Amino acid sequence: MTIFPKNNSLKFLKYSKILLLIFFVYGCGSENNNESLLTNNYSYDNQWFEDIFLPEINYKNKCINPRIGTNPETNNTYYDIQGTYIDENNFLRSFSNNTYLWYDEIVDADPSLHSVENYFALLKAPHDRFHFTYPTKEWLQISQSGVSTGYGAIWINLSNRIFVAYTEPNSPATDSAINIERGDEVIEVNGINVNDIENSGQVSSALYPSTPNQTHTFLIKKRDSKDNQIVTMTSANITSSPVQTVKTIKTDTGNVGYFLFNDHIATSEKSIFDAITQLKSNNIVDLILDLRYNSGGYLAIANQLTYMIAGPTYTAGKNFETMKFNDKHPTTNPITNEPIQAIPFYTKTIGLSSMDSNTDLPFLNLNLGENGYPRVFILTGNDTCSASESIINSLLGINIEVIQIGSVTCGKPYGFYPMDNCGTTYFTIQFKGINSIGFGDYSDGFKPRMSSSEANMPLGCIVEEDVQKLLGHTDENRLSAALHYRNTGSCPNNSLSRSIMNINSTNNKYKKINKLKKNIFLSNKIL
Amino acid sequence: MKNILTLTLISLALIACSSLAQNGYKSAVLIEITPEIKLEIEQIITAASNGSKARLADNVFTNQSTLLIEKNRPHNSNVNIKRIYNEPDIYELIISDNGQCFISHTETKLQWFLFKAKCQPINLQ
Repeated sequence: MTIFPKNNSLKFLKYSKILLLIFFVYGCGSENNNESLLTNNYSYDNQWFEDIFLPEINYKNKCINPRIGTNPETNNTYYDIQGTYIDENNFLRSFSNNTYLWYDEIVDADPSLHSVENYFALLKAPHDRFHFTYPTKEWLQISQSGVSTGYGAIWINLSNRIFVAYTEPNSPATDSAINIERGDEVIEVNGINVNDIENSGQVSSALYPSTPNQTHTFLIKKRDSKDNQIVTMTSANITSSPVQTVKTIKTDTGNVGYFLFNDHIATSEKSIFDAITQLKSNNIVDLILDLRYNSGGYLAIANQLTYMIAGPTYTAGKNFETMKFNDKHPTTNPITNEPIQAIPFYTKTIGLSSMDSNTDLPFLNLNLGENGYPRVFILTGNDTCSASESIINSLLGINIEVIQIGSVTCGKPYGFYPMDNCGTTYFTIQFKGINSIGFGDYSDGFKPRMSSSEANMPLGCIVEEDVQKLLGHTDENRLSAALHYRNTGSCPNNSLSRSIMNINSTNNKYKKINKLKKNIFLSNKIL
Repeated sequence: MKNILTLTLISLALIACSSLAQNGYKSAVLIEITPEIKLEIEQIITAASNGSKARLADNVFTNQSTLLIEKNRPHNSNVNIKRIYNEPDIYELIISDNGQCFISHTETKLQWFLFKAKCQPINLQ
């Protein structure tokens, strides 16, 4: 254990206190005695010495409000003991210093000067967008795979207008009396205009009901007729259908497969297995994978789909992803204390969603791209996130040519082990996922490369969202652009290409598009 | 008090069920689902998950014999981690030779009686 900073001119008094504290912590009798000493020596334990950190175990479970009873996560009695807010802050301080990916960007602050909530907010790098807490009791709640509360309409915000991106079958939204569809626009909710900032909380609560059996009224402008329609919907527990559209598009140069994949939920294993099997049987030569609304989920599902796209030849001996922790932990996972091992490609079923395990996964035989490796077209949006991005990154890591059509992805190569302390679960980034060639720095999202120096970015085109056309239709903007690119090797005129000649102008336009696409409602969902 | 009674009943069912022979069990689906039956299933899954509250679809076990339970899904929020490494819990609805419905946890093989539900082998659908 290292406690002395490398470049410190020794301050004897400071270190003598630390050494005295270590003596108290580690040098005394039984475990129970240690606990007693820890409990009774706040005066030593809670002094702040800048950039000097005791192990977080010294502060763990010392709570302002200790819990009693059984911990549902472990089925053991809670270990909480009486402590102070400074103990809780010190736990977060030491835990972050030990495990936070960018621990060296945290400005060390005196834990006695902040509330626990405010102190945790300080323990992050300025660029970190994924730093939050959750009440542990709520965090431990469980759900049937793919089941969430709502109406079955997935909303999308385009330039402060709320549209229906897609719907779930057998939901209130698709009830024959209501029949909400992609491209329909929500004008009012319970008589409140959706742009009424003063009542945005009421609008958001109605759009995203937290419990079933909530009834709200919506004024909807229909996509096809442009007529307004008032509908009343009651929230329910909706079961997501993660793969809704699988189709084969016939062209003069071979069959092209299109596959809309919306959520990496556990039940999607069978859906993507069936989708790839169907497309394979239709002898597709190119695949257009639509991930524009897929904000992630199970990495195992992403792993399987990546294998099914690339096939055994190109994945043999390669890895899907490896966790990379901060430089204090180059070889050992600091949470599990197990050696860090690369995650191989999964070539067989896991056994989810009524599937047997250990069944060989189907795989495609796709056309080769410019680099001599198979190519795949991936449609993206701002909500393409996390596990979806890991598909792109892992494909790039094994040289599969990814042609990205759409807008920049969300940029989340990171992960964390949720950590409970005193009834709050803390989410602080601890690792990033790197691909077979060691790349995982896409925190600004994937976007089509603008120059040859961006070798870790896909090829492709920036293309705007087009809710006026149904998903999977060949005249929908992004699908149409992918087919155009496939035919011509270039982007359509109304998009932004990867052309090196257009770097300056395209950068400006790109920023404008990204801002327009910002989804204020869904942005809180992607973490 | 009601919860304690429910958990006690479930525990008794578990004990009784665990002593039954494994032979003759078939994968099953529910013949019908009512709010009462759904509540019974919710209580079983919640108890099996150390008390973590379960949210289920209204048609649970009516189309499939398996039930996948994902952990860490707060019900009152859209927050999701979206980079999930652990695996879900898998439960299966099964029926014995004498028509008794059970829920079985595939990993631990623990089983729970269903007192209010009627089910049928899945291949009879």
